[in-house]
Amino acid sequence: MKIINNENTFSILFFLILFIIIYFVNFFVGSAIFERTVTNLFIYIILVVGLQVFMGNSGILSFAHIGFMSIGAYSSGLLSMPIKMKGFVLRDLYPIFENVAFDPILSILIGGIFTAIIAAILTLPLMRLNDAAAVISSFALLMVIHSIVVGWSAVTNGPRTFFGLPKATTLEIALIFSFLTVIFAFIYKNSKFGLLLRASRDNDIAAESIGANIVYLRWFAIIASAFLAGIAGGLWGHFITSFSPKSFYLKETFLVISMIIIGGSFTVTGAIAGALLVTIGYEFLRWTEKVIKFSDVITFEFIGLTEIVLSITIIIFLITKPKGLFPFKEIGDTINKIIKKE
Amino acid sequence: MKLSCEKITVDFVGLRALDQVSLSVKTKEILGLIGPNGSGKTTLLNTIGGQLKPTKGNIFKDNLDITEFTPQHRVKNGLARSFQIVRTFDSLNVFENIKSASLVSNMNYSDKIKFCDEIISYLNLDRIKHVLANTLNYGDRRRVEIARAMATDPDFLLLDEPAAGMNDDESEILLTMLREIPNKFNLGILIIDHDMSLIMKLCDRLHVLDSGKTIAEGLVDQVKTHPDVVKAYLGEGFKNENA
Repeated sequence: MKIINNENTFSILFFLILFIIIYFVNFFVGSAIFERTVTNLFIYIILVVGLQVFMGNSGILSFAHIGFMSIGAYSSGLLSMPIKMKGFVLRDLYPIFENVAFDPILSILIGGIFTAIIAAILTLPLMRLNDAAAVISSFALLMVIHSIVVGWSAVTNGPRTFFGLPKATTLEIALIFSFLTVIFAFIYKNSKFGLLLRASRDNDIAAESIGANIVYLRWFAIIASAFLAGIAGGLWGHFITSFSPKSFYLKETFLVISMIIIGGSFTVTGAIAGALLVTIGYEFLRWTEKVIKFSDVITFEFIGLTEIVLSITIIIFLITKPKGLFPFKEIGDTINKIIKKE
Repeated sequence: MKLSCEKITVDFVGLRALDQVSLSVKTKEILGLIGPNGSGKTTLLNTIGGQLKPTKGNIFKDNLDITEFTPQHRVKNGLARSFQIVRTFDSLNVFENIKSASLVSNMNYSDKIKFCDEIISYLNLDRIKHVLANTLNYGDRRRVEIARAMATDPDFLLLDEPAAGMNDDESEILLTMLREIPNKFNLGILIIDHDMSLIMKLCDRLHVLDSGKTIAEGLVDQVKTHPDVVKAYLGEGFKNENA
């Protein structure tokens, strides 16, 4: 299977250059807040591109993604947390975990694999569903995962904050993982599995008639997607170092979905563009909120501007550009065309 | 090779759509399946393609009973089809549409690509090779669907009204293309179409259904003049009025 064609190479190179530019901009800005935002951006790119692997190629909206992220965050945190902290944070921890403290990066990778395994077990029966039934069941899955995280206090500290993780995720690490995710997404999209899954997205009956086994194609995609979400969760956990089940629920799901809708779920370029634009918009709105708050222009408490603007943006996009900013063409296709013309 | 149906019966709720229909197609042969609207042609094609399970009866490819096979399993055994309602992969370009179908075949990758290109140039799709399928006109989409079915490297091709929605020129061009496919690609074709002049010129043999039952089968000239066929197509009074 020839998966590295011109268009793919151009796309991957484009994003490599973009990521490096972002990295150097951060280097020259040199502010801690900016670095924090950029690191977050790269983690979100892993998350959204990971979601694109499933949602973009299969055409099924998945709400469960943030749930998978939480599995990655908690499981990697459980493995990497220093032994001293464990007695402090998780009082009822099972004895086998009590004396375990792996290297954070190793923990993050194990967390990703663990998430993929959980996804493989949970999602196989769901892959038969189409349309609304599939979307609703993925939402139910998010709620189930959330409830388990809240309830299983022996390993998650329940609804209370889970803290004490070593801070291991740097901007560089997030960037590298992010870039690897982008490469994977492009290769997958143009692989045999990606192509057949995209065919089934357009017409399931016809896809079956050319030999596509849709259930397994979707299953493979969601396992890969969950692995990436788990990695993103692990990276985020080791970046923020303390979090609670609230960090992985509706608000975050909504944010990720808005990124992929605005950018366009059918293309990897769209997923990255969505993550980029929404992050920029989000930071700008939060800054505006702060300015309004401290300027005493209005007397009552002013919160929620970010969510309102984001919601309206999604609605506008769904009406005017339902397939997002990059509906079909990757950035590499456009570059390839320009080069050919000259 | 031979594809055969034996006594296929399909019951929908309150309706017998097919009643003990048997037919067979051989390699390098074109069999036309004709009949008035609602006579069960598409139902039979869906049964052979695996989209529908027969209530009774069996489908064989040579000696292999494929009645219980899923559609994807049938493709691997050399059955490919096009649909009455066009079902192209709209967000993929023409080449990707055809390439996706070639993935099922046993060829190695470079042979697959060569084979796809051969089909593309045979069906005159070169000009639109890199165009997204949802921007194509109806006739082109029909041809993409035929090309896609051919790309699975089938032994038998099932075509459901490939000329529907085409103008006279387009269906004339399609006719010449289809005529050569069985010999060039070494396969058998089972075709449904309403365009009688196309069917008569194209097919080696005809099989006529009416209300789910076989009313005639045989060579084109025999079937054309068969009294039951004339009755089913043209109405009972037709002969008397002309007499």
